[in-house]
Parts: sequence; structure tokens; C-alpha cells
Amino acid sequence: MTKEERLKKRHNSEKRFRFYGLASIFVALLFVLILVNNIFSKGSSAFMKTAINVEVFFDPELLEVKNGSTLDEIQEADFYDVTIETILKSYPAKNLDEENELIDLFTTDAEIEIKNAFIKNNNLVGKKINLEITASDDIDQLHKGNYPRDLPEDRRRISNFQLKIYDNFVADDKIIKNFNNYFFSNGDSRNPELAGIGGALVGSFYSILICLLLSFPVAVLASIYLEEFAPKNKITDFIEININNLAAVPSIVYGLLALQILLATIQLPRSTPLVAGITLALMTLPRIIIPCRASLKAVPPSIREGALAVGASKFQSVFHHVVPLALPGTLSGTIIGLAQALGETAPLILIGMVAFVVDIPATPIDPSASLPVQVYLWSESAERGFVEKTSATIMMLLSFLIVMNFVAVYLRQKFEKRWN
Amino acid sequence: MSDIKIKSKNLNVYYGDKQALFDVNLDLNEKEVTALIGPSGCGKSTFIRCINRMNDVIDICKVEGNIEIDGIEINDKELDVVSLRERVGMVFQKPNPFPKSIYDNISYGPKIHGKGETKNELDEIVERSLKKAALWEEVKDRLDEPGTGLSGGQQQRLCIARAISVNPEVILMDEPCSALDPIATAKIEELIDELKKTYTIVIVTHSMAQAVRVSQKTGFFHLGKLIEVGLTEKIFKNPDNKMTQDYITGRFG
Amino acid sequence: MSNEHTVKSYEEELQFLIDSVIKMGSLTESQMVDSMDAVIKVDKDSIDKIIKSDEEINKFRSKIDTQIMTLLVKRAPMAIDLRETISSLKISQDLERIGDLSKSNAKKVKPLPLDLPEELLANLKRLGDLVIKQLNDVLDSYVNKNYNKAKEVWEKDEQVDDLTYIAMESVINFLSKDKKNLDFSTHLIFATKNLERAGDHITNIAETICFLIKGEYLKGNRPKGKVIQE
Repeated sequence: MTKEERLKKRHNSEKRFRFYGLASIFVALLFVLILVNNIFSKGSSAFMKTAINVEVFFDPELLEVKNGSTLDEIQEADFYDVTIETILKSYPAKNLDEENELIDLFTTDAEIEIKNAFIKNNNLVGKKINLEITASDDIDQLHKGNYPRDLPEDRRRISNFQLKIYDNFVADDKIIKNFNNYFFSNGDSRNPELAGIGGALVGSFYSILICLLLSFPVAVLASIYLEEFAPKNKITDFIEININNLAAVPSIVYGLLALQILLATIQLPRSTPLVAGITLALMTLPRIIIPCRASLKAVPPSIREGALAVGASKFQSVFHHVVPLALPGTLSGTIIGLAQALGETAPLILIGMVAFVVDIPATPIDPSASLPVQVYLWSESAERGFVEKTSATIMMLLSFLIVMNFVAVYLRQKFEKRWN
Repeated sequence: MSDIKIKSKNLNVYYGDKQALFDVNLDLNEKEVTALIGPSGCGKSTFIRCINRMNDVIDICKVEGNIEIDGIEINDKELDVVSLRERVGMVFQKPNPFPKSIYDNISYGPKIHGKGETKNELDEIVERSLKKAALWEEVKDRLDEPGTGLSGGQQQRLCIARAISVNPEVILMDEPCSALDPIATAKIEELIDELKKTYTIVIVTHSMAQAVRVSQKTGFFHLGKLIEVGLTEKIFKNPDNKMTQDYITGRFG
Repeated sequence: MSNEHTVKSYEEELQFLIDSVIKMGSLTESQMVDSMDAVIKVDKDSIDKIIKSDEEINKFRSKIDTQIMTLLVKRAPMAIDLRETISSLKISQDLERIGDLSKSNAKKVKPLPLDLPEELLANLKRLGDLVIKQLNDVLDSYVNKNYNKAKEVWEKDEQVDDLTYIAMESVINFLSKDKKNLDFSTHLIFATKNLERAGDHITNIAETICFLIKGEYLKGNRPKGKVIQE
């Protein structure tokens, strides 16, 4: 081979390599796009809910409360009759079956919605207002186009009569879509139209908070001790190997650990963010220690020597000089560790977060769900209405993870610019 | 005739099994510049790092023998190394300012030694140190900027100012100009001339010409032994030892 | 550990300098021999040749000057190398002066008569021979770096002074015998003085060589013999 031929061959192999690299990136992006598209198309509809516009008459004869009643009195009062009246007035129903079918078109929480409207404007007794009451899950799905209409009636969830009412409402512009605030404010529910991630959000928030508060200080201080102060001998080598291994242990093992020690032995309350937080903290510890130690190792010895030469003690040189320089790497490692913890499902299932929790937890020792567990629970559900909610929750989860990763990158760049 | 500030007697230093310094006896005079020359790996840096106990940082390093500063033994295990390093400052080969502001670089030392409590006191110390290091005029308007943003020569003067800020008695310099250009080097040498009026200075250098220019006394090290020590003029005009002469004239094989 | 500079070109430059000095010394020595011969034999034909050879000696002087400046700037010589460099500067200066003095003596042969008294010529010859031997010895001591030999040359300056005194007396006697001798007698006086001054320069060279070898100057004043009042 001549010199020119060899050179050409080298150039060609480089060009091929570049092509492969670009092609892989392209394929990867393609898959990401497909995934995102899939999730978005299924989940975006969950952010809207269908409502039916009806006229509500606050008949004083049906109400026990008056204008100017206290909040407590209103909350205690029964608005059931007003609700039924409102619904039955919205469309002519000939018999009891039809009446029931009409009532089924609306959410089971219709009474609460009417009551809330009353609370908002406290002198409505005897007055009529137009109110958009949330539709039932079936109407919601029908209106979103998820139920096929061309099946025989016994294979449909919506009867012919209900279909007739629906078409009528649509013709009269009484069916509208508005923002689904229930998705964020409500906890889990048997009724898909009322189900929300409120409980899971708070549960995840508390869990991650406790995880952070427990794991970050312990991990950072442990790293500093192991890296700067501990003598270098076989024992510390052994510890380092074990920490590296712990980072690779499957998360479900931590769940088993939590089950045995936290729940069975110490008897902490099940299903709570407290237990979840502790479990996640155990899991996240090695994932913070490893980048923290790497960052500490990366600080050049000239910095330490400079501090010592000026008369700083070892402690001062480590905490005043080395640790601030190691902070960017540590922080980004921590945030990535937290982001991983946010998405953990298996250990949380084992500690009982699969329970059906309706209320939004007020404290970390109240039972709760977490976002990924909620995804798991809803994905198992038969009802069509939960499909979009599952995807919507995944979207929320992904956005949090992306935001956390961006924060990690931003913090890292900001600190690195300051110190260099 | 100057007083003796630092005295080393039968100093032996080991890195694990390898011996780095053999029975070094060397006296360093007060308010004078002593230069230490010798080929790479001959022990000059090891020697000066003994004076401020920086060798303690290296686990496998063992120091035997005596070093006295003003008559007080510093190889004593009971000695407070932190206050030793307040009296004996060090400037390194590669400038290593802290990644903090210029002001913080200088004020750090006095703060941790309790030498400046109020902001005014610290301001004064910072100004004084920077003026003594001939850096004040160049940085007085940008004390908040990071020390690492200065040029190489300025960074080294910053490190000198940092060493001065705690008011030491001795300044150890380990090849302070080897990473600098000739003009920056000249500025540092000028600075050393001034500083020797106040401080005892020990400088390790690879440049023979620099040793001649800045020092009054020179010690020649080879393979861990102090071969010859004497007045700089004598060493460079007419050394007693043939090995010394071979080294300084470039006749080493 | 070798005894040569690590940088070969440094070694060569220094050696070139030393060789130049040795060559210049050789030239100066043979010029002085020729000049002395011319005076004793009153040989007027050889004057031009001697004047020409002085040009050669001066050329060496400027070559050595250039070489020294290059060495100083390039190598910043230390210790023995420094002394070697400075010594070659001083020695070449002294050699040039000796060359000038020999040339001057040769020029003085022109007006001399052919019937100068034997004794006068003999005294002059003895002085000239001694000075030539001094030059020879001092150059030897430079080549061989022989301290003792250089010191002997330095000490023998006393003898040069003595012989000068004797030669000078002969000339003054000759001068006082006949008024018509005045003209070339004065030339002879200057010629004698030149030989003494050549001797002084040779003693300078000896001192320089001692400093070169030992690194310190000879102690004490140089020995002085009888001196004619100047």
C-alpha cells in the first residue's frame, strides 16, 4: 500500500466512525421522540375534564341553610335534594331507570360541587345560577373519543338513552371541557374523573425531603472523613469497595431491609413518607458518597498545601478550601441521586405504599402514595379513564426529573465558574 | 555578622525505605537570603519542607534529627504545627492562590490566627501585605475579583503577600520563579531584595544565576548530602569542592 | 562525572579561546625574538617584517575580544570558567602591549650605527634574553597551568629590574662619552625601558595566571630590583 492509499484508508475509517456516531445519536433521538410522543398523546387529555353546564336552583324549601349561614353550618347541610333536582331538570326522564341513567351522567361528587358553588357566593338561596358540573368518567371518556360508539348497547358502558342525552347536550353546547384541577388537588379515587395525583405529589415530596435531609449530611460528612481524615489501610479500602457495591444493589433489597427493620422491628407506621424517606436515604447514600469522594479527590493537593502553609489546621484546610471546591460535583451527584430516588417504585411497594390512599397526607407520618407507585397502581386498573391519568402522571414525573437534572447542570456550571 | 535563625543538626529524612537526606548540618542566618542549589532530586525541597513541617503531610515520610528555630526544637511531637507555620511561611513552585477573591486570599491567614478581628484591621493587613509584595497598585481596585484571574507573575506575588499577611519570621521559597517569564522573575527577585530586610528567606532554585543574584549564602546539595555551603560569592567564583564546581559550570555527566 | 561541559559547544568555545591566547602568545614571543635580534645585530632589513607581524598580533586581540563577549553572554560562566574567560582578556591585553613594545624597539634599529660597543650590546642582549625567557616561561605556565612556574616568573621580575639597571648604565656611559652619540643613545634608552616594561607586562600575565589557577591573588608587592629614577 502506498502512502496515499494508507492515508485515504485512515481518513475513510474516521469518516465512517463519525457517521456511526451521528447515526446512533439520530436513532436514539428518534426513539426518544417516539416515547415522548406516545406518552404525550395518551396523557395530555388528562389535564382537561368534561363538564356539563346546568342550571342550579337553590330552592329554599329544599335547603336547610339560609343566606349568611356559617361555613360549618353549610358544610354540615345536606344539598342532596338540590343536586337531584338540578340533574333531573336538565333533561326529561320518563321512568326511574332513565332517571338513574341521567344521574349517572354526572360525577358522584356533584353535590360537593354545588355546595362549593354555594359557599363561594353566600347569598344564593332562592337564586338560580349556571354551573358547570363535572361529568362522570364515562361521559368524560366518551367526549374525549375513547369509547367507540358503534358497538351494540350491551357491549357499551353507555346506554342508548345516555347517548341520546349526550348528543342533545352537545347540540345545545352544554358539554364543555375545562382544566382538570382535580388531577392536582385530589388524592386517589375509585372514580377516574375525580382521581388525582395530589396525594402522590405530597407523598413523594415528603419522601424526597426526608431522603435529602437524612442522606446528604451523612453522605457528605462520611465522604470527607473517608477521603481526608481516615488512615489509608486495608480497612478503609474494604469500606470503599463495599460502598461502591452498595450503589449497585437492586433497590428492592432496600425495600426488604425496610420491611424487616423499620416496619417489623421498629414498628414505624406503614405506607408513610417517613419510612419511604428512610429507605430511599439508605439507597441514596452510596450514590452521593461516590461522586462526593471523586470531587474531593479531584481537588489538587496544591490547594491543601497552600492552606496548610498559611497555618490552617487540617480541619480548616479541608472545610474552608477543599470542600467548597468539591461542592459542584457533590451537588450534581446529589441531585441525580435524588432524581433516581424520586423514580423508585419497588422498595416503596414493599413498604406498603400500594394502599389505596384517598386523603392528601398532612404530615410525613400519614399514609400516602408516591408518584411512581401511583403510576403502577393506575396502570393495573381496568377502567379506561385511568389510562390517560397514568400517562399524565408519567409526564409529571419525567418533567420533575428533567428539571432536577437541569438544576444539577446549572448549579455545577455556576459553582465551577466562580471557582475557576 | 548575622545571628543564626535556623539550625539543622544531623537531619536525616526517609521516604519509606528510601533515604532522602543524609546527616544535613546547615545554619541559616537571620534576615539573609540563603539559596539551596543542586540537581533534581537532591533533597533541597525535602530540606526546606522540614523547616515548616510540611513533610508531616506525607504519610511515609520520616524525619530524624534536629531543627531549631531561635533555639527551639521544631521536630518535637508536642509542637503546635499550626503556630509554627504562622512563623514560617512558604511559597510554592507553581503559584497556588486560593480560588477566592484577592481580598479573601490575603485575609484568610490573619483571620484564622485571630490577627484581624474587625473589618478595618483586616483591610489594613490586606493593604499592607499587598504593598509589601509590590502588588497593591495593580490590584487595589479589584480586590473582589478571584485570585486565580491574575497573571502568573501576579499570582505568585499574591502568594507571597499571603505568606506575609500572618507576619512570619521566615519565608521558604521552593523555586518560586520557575513557572514565570523573565520580567515576572525580575519583579520577584527585586521583591526578595526588599523582603530580606525584614524576613529570613530560604530559596530553592535551579537557576545558578538567580542564586548569585539574590542570595548571600549558598548551599549545594547532591544526592541528599550537603556538599558545600558558604558565601555565595565564594561558591560561584571559587568553590572549595570539585563537585560543586562541576555542577555550577555544567560539567556534571 | 566527566570533566567536560555537558554542552559540547561550550567546551569547544572555551577551548578555542584558550588556543587563541596560546597562539597569540607564540606570535608575540617570536616577534620579540626577532625584534631583539634586529637590535643586537643592527639588522635594518628585518624591520618591515616585524612591523607586519604586529598586525597579526592585533588581529588576534580583536578575535579574542569578540569570543569573550560571546562566552559571557551565552554561557554566564561560573568559577573556573569565569576566571578562564577574564584571564584570557587580561592576558591578551598584556600580550598586545608586549607586541607593541617589540615593534617599537624594532623601529628604533633604523637610526643605530653599526659600531656600537660590545659591552653595551652584551648587556642589552642579556636583558633581552631574560625577558624572552620570562615570556617563554609564563606562556608555558599558562599552557600547563603550572602555578609554581608562574610564581617564579613573577618573582624573577626583580632580576629583570637589575639587568635593566645594568643595561641602562652602559647606555648612559656611552652617551656621556661622545656628544654625537646623543641621538641614538636616546633611542637606546627608550629601547631598554621598553624591555623593562615588557617584563612588567609579563609579570602581570604571571599574576593573572596565578589568580586563574588558585582563585586568589598573589599576596604582597611584587619584588622590585634596582630602579633607575624616572
